[in-house]
Amino acid sequence: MRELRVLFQEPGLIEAIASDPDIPRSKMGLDTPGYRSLWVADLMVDYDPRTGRSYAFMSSSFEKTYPLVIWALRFYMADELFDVPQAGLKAVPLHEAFSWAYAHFILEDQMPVLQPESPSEPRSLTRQVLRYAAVAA
Amino acid sequence: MHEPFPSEEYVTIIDNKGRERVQRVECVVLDVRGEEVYVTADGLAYAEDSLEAKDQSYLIEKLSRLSGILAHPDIVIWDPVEAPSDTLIYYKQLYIAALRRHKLVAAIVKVRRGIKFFYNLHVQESGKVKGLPVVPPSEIEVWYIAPRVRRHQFGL
Repeated sequence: MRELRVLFQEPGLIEAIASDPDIPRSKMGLDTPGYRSLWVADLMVDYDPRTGRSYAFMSSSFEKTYPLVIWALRFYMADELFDVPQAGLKAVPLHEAFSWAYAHFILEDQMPVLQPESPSEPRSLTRQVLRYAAVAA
Repeated sequence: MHEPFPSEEYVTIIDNKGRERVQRVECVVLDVRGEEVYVTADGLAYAEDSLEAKDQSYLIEKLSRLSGILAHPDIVIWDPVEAPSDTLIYYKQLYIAALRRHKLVAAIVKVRRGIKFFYNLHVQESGKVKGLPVVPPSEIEVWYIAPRVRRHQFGL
């Protein structure tokens, strides 16, 4: 399973970079196609030329665009699970990793805990963050 | 590009929580319109970490040539994420010796309270500025374009 490393710069620049422990780093450096916007303007994705898989994800105004970015990741890029060691998350989709990043870097772990809609509702950072966005709007 | 004058060595920004944060200025670069862009230690550190993590260390040396990118860009657009935008993106084709080819490089500059800050440097897909094809080209605002450059070279 690939690991995600999340980088953040205030006020809202976020990058998540996936690495595969089974693929060594390139000696020359990766000659990637470069970032391009996918689905929403502020979600940019770059690809690893060795695998053809997306490996870098960037939002540069995440403090404003996070609902759109998280929705796009949830709809279009939820088919792969990642470990996020810095968050203590294992086997989560990208939208959960970005939701953690929003709660951690931008809200500084101060997101109010919203009551679940039903007792059986599974714990989901994405659900929490999107409900927070709806309340804050 | 010049080292900061004593009065410019530290700048104070207001963060997301409304707190004042002091940033150390490494250098001040004049962009293509002669406007100052502050390059802070935090901004440089982020860009280096990001390039290293993406296995694109060959671009780290370009950070020392930021003045060339900002003073002689091919095209500069306002980030199309929102209007009015507070972010400019400077694009320039650069020769990357390690790859033996040109790449389109983007330098992101954030405008905060009228002061420009260098924010990040990354490789951009050739022929497409940020937003394309999600945003119609007519909605992408060009801030500057070099005389020799045509908009269609960047998908506009």
